[in-house]
Order: sequence, then C-alpha cells, then structure tokens
Amino acid sequence: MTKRFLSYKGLLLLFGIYLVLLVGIKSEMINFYWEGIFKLALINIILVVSLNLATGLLGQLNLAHSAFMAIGAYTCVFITRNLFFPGFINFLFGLFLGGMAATIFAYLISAPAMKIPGNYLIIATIAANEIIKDLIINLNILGGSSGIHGINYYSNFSFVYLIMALIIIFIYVIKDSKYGRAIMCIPQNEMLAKSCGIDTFHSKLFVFSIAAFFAGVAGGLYAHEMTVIEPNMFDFSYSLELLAMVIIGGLGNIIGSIVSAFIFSVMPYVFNIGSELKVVIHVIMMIIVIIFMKKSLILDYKRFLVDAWNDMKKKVW
Amino acid sequence: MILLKLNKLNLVFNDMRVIRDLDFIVEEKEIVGLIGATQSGKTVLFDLISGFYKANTGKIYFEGEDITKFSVEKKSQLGIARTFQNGSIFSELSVKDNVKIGFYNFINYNLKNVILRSKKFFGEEKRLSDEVYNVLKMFGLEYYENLLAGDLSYGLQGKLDIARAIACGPKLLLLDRPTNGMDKNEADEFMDIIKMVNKKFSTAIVLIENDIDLMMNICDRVVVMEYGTVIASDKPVEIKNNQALASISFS
Amino acid sequence: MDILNKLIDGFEMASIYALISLALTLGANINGMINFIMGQLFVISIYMIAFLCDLKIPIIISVLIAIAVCVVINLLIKKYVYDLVKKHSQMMSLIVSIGASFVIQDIFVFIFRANPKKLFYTVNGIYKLGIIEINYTDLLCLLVFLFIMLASYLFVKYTRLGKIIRAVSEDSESTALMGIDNDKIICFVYGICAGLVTIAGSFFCITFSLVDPFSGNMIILRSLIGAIIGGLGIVSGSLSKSVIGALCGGFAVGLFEILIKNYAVAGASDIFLFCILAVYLFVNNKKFLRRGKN
Repeated sequence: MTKRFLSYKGLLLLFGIYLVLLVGIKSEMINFYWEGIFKLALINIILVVSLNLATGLLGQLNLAHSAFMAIGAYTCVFITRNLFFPGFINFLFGLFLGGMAATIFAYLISAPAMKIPGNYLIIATIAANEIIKDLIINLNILGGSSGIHGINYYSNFSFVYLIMALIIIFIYVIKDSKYGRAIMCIPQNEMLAKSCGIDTFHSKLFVFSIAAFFAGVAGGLYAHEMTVIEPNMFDFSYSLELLAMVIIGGLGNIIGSIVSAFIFSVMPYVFNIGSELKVVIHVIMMIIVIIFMKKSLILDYKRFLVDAWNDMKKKVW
Repeated sequence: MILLKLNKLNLVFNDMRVIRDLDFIVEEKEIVGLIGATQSGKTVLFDLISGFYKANTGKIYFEGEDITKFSVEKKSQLGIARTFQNGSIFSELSVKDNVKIGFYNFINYNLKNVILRSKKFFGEEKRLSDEVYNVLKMFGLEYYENLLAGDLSYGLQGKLDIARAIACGPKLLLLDRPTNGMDKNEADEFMDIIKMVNKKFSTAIVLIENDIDLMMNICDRVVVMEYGTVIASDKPVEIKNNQALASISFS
Repeated sequence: MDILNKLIDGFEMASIYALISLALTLGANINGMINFIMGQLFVISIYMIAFLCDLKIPIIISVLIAIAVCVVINLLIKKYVYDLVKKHSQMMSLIVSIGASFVIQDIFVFIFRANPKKLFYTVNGIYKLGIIEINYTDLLCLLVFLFIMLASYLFVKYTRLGKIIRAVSEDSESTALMGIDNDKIICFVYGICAGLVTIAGSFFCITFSLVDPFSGNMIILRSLIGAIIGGLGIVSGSLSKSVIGALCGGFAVGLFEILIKNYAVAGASDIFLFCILAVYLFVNNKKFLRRGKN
C-alpha cells in the first residue's frame, strides 16, 4: 500500500479530494460553517497522524499531544503579533517556530520519557499537560485564563490542506525506507532491533520530536482558524480524544488514523450531538475497540476482517 | 586467529555475582558449543558480549580491538550478530522485511536521499531487494516472502531468525537455544543449516543448547559453564564422556 | 504558631487526599493498574450522601448506603471493562481507566447537569488546646485518618486475609496455583477502595459547602501524586509499607497545598506538585518495578 500511495495514484487521490472540496467551497455548496468544520477535521488529521507516529510506532501511549499543540498555538500567535514581516510571512515563521518550540519541549521531556515505564509515562504526560496549562493561566502575557482574542485569520482552506498533505507525504516517504522499517520494528522487539544495529534511543527521540513538531504546527493553524484560544481548549481530555481516534483507527495504521480523525471530527456536527456526548462516544468506542482488539500493538482491520470472513465461511461450510 | 577474547569478566547483579572471572576465546570460523545448568550464566554471557550488560571488571576483545564499552548498536556494526531465546523475529513484519532489517547496517543512503527520493535511494533499495531474495532462497523461504513472520511455523521462524542474523555476513554469530521447541528432525535439519552457514559465510558461531548430543556433530569445541564461570573446554566427545561433568544436570 | 493553625486547617483535605491515595495504591497493587474512576466515585459519593441527608436520613446510614453504591459501581466497571482489557499491556489498562472515568463523568453531567450543589452539613465546634485551635471536623478527619492508617497496617501485616492480599499483589500466578481465588480477593480489595473513597467523600461533605461534578478531577491527580511519591510502583513486595507510604504521601500533599496557598502564590500549588512529580519520576526512573515477573 505504501508504494502505491507514494506513486501517482496516491498523490492523485490527495489532489483529487482537494479539488472536490475546493470546488464545493468556492461554489458555496459547502458553506462557511462546514468549511470551518472541514478545516478542523484537517487539523485533527495532522494531530492524529502525528500522535500515531509517536505512539503506534513507538509502543508508548502518551497524553502530551495537546500540550505540544498548546505550545505551538501560543508561540505562533506571539510571533504573528510581534514579528516585523508582512502578515502571511509572519504566519509561516510562526508555524515553524511554534513547531520548533513544541519540539524543544518534547526534547526536554523525552529523556525521562524514554526511561519511565509506560503507565507512569502516561501520568507524567498528564502532569506535563497540566503544568503547561497552569503556566499559561498564570502568565499574564499569555492572556491568562481568558485566553487571547482577536487573532488574525490566516488559515484558509487551501493552506491547511497543503500543510496536511505535506505532512502525510512526509510520513509515507519515511515509512518506506530503512528508517521507516527501523521505526516499525522497535515496538515489536526492542532488544532485537538494537542488536541489528538500530539506535533505538535516537530513533524514538527523532520520532517523538517530529510528532511534537507537527502537533505544534497544527496548534498554530488551529489558533489562526479559531481566532480565539484559551487554556481550557488544551486540556488533556483533548489528548485523550486524539488517542481515542488513534486507537480506533489502528495503532501504526496511517490511513486508519486519517479516516477516523475525519469521521470523528465531522460526525458530531452531522448528527448534531452536543459537545458533552461527543467525548463520551469517542471514548466508549475506544474502550470497545481495546476490548476486542487482539493482543498486538498494530491493529490491522484488514486482517481482522479477513479472519472474521474466514471464520464465517467455516461456519457456513 | 582469535576472533573474540573475554578476559576475566565479572558481573554483579543486586549483590549477586552472576559472572565470575570468566575467560573465553572464540577462534575464526570456529563453532563453539556452550552448555551448562540453568542460571549458570550462558545467556548473560551473550548479553555481555553483545552489549546489553556492561561488565563490572574485565575486558572483551574482538579482532584485537577492546570493545568492552561499546554500545549494542556499535557492536552489531562490527559484525556481531545474535539471536534470542524464544524466537527473535519481528512477528508483525513480513518475512521480507525481517531480512531487510538484517541488512540495516549496510544500506548506504541517508535521510536526505530518502526525502528527495534520489537515484541512490532507489538503487540501494533495489540492491537490497535482490540480496534479500538471495538470502531467502538459501533458506528455502522465498515462497513466504510476503507472509507475516508471526504466521510461520516454529521451524520456519527459526530459519528466518538465522536468515536475518547472517544477512550481512557477520563475523560472529551468537545463537541462544535456537532449537527450543523443535522436534528431533527439525533440530537436526537446523544443525545442518548452521554448518552450512559456517562454511559459506565463514562465520564463527557460539551455540547455546541444552542437549549435548546436538552439539556432537557440529561443534569443534564445547565449553561448560557453571555458576558464572567456565569449568571445562574440550572436544564434544571428551565433554560427553567426562565423569566429573556428568553429575551436572544440563538443562 | 500561626503556621500550625494553618496546617491544622488543612487536615480535612489532607485526609481526603490520604484516603484516596490509599485507595489508588491498594487498587494498583492488587490489580496491576491504576483505577482512575476513583475520582468520579468520590464525586458520586458526595452527591449521594448529600441527597440522602436531604431526605433526612441519618448521616451514618447515608454514608453506608453510599459505600454500597460505590462498591457496586466499582465492581461493575471492573468486571465489564477492566477484566476484558487485561490481555493488553498495563498502559492500555490505564488508558481504559482514564477513559472510563471520563465516560462516567460525562454521563453524570448529562443526567444531573453541571450545576454545583450546595452542601449544608458542616459541623461547627472548635476545641482549644493551649494556643492551638482545632476544628471539630479537622479533629474528626485526623482521627479517622490515623485509625485507618493503623487498621490497614495491622490488617495487611498480621491478619490471614491481609497476607493473602499481599500474596496476590506480589504474584497472582502462584497464588492461583495454590488454590486462592484471585478474582474474589481483587473484588474484595476493590470494595475496600470504594469504601475508602466514600469516606473521603463524607469528609468533603462535612467540610465544604459546594460541590460540582468536576471537583474530582484535580483531587484524584493530587492524590495520585501523593501515592506515587509515597512509593507506588517502587516499594513492592511490601504492601504494608506501601499502605503507610500512600497515606503519608497523600496527607503530605494536602499539607503542602495548604502551605503554598498561605505562604506563596495561591494558584501555584498544582504547578509545584506536578513539578515535584516530574522531578521524582525523573530521578527514580531506574527503580520502577514492573508488575509480575521481571
């Protein structure tokens, strides 16, 4: 699938979807309200895909993603308000520096993150999330608990789609190489990977940092789309929702992440479910998936369906 | 020519001396059997050689170079390959990808080539595919190349294990109970494969097994360990017939 | 001496944190995973006790009824959610437990709305010991806390059931082979955890005058920090020490919080706590034990 995706078929698909959506927007068939929802869906795709990198390919679940996003968002807003370049260039700088700030934070917490066993890492990432949130609330230059309002609106549809497409292409490019194979084998048998010459520590660090970078960029896009940010948007419950999307889509399964992120971002608005129930449904689905998941880190729906089909055939015959 | 030399190694875990004053030598192209009671330190010795544990005192020399403090990855790049007890394959990767990982140290492109998808990248990947196919053919695994490694039978997994380990022609191969779980026929077939690997790749092999009969035909030398140190080192026949050692239960 | 009075003021919250820390530690040791729904059980118990007391039911009976309900909820979640995900790693169990706590919270908010509820059950009365003034509630909480510390230590260390519980937490495979029904023991301990959380809820009822469905979130995180610093995950093979550690850790968190509130920046106690946790995990990362066989 990876080879085909990277070839013209995959790129055509990406471009094709873009054209369809663009036509819809320009011709007013997709109105402003839905355009915003789609854009949020694209941002969520970036977040979910990068979280899948950090967790599915590393075998460690972490809840720090909304902290990376918060850092990226606030840094980006700070840059776009204070730097001296013309508007959109500021934004580009802001996105990049937001990503870098998130990466630096990831780097700082990665040293302990690598050494602490999985379940304590989750608690540590919850703690990191809360620290970031509390810092934002308490530091007045960051707007305190009422957040920052009146952010310039830079994230138009084409740009957000472009960033998302670049990130997806980047991930596939890496996946189909020796680095991608190395990253995929680490969660399966880390000692064996090491003995094959793979530097597991730096590989994990690299992936963790890249995932944080993408989350930071997504945070910048988010801030300039919503035009308002406040600390409560970046609670660790958002991390949990993202993790739910990752698990439902399948750990290690990039296309699954894209699909589940899109569906879960758009569904609540299709069915008019209030925000209270939205999180509940995501999380319940995640729990159901975990209950029925076979004991492996990489969930493969294709295999699951194939096995189920074979079981059914056996019963019929 | 001495390939690997262990000199007075000591390892202490939680106030317990696991390896004590261990001396061990492996010559080039030699097949050495390693045997001993449980907990006598055989696997720990492998861990020390490959770098998962660092000895408290003592030195390890590989081809004359002091590699005592090297990391696991660096030792692998020098040409030390190893398998682990209970199957060391990547069960969620395909058979082909498992062997590709075996070639990891010898793929010559960097991140820039990957991102820009340069000619070098495609060239190396093609070369890799060809070499992987050759290795699989050598072990009779070429028909399974796209199956998931976890779906293979136990015997085939063992073969895949070796295929991955010798993919880049290491100078030293450490095998930790590779025939665990195999029946007698599979185990004998496996020993033939080991002999073939040794001849074809000129790889020195250290083999941990529980059954001295398996070692009779292929090992040039058998080393007996007990309580973390070497107590005997001789031809297999001599070890088997040695009355003093017969009292040690090999398991 | 002012500082002593301020500390005594903090005994109620400190006891709450201590009891929840103990509940988390016991649950974690016996079942290999941290049971996050304790936070929601805490809130549910507060609402229940308040509701029952509103109906003029005596407080002791209300507390007992609340204990029963919380035990039932805990066991239901255990049986129909936690047991089904045991086949995965500990991480997954933790995510599931965090998820379950979110689900319970949102269902609660959906049914009862997010409005805060008034509590009228503060008991008034001050004892004076020399220059120290101690509230009636503070004294009650402190005494119950000390009683529970003593009782749980003696129970775990010297009674037969306590020894069985210790055995199951250390090595459930061997205890199963020896004929002990692990599941019953785990259910028993889960029942105790729910009971402890409900008692903590009753402390909250007599101390504060307002509760909302989100009160539990930060409280469980702080209790968890107390439990971890008290030795959760590191001090294994000695449940009795873990018990004391958890109780003291939770109590210390409460005292720390009251000190920071009074003598430093008001909203900063959480940041300090989390930083302390981060430093602690960082420094001790080599000592963390893995559940079951190493």
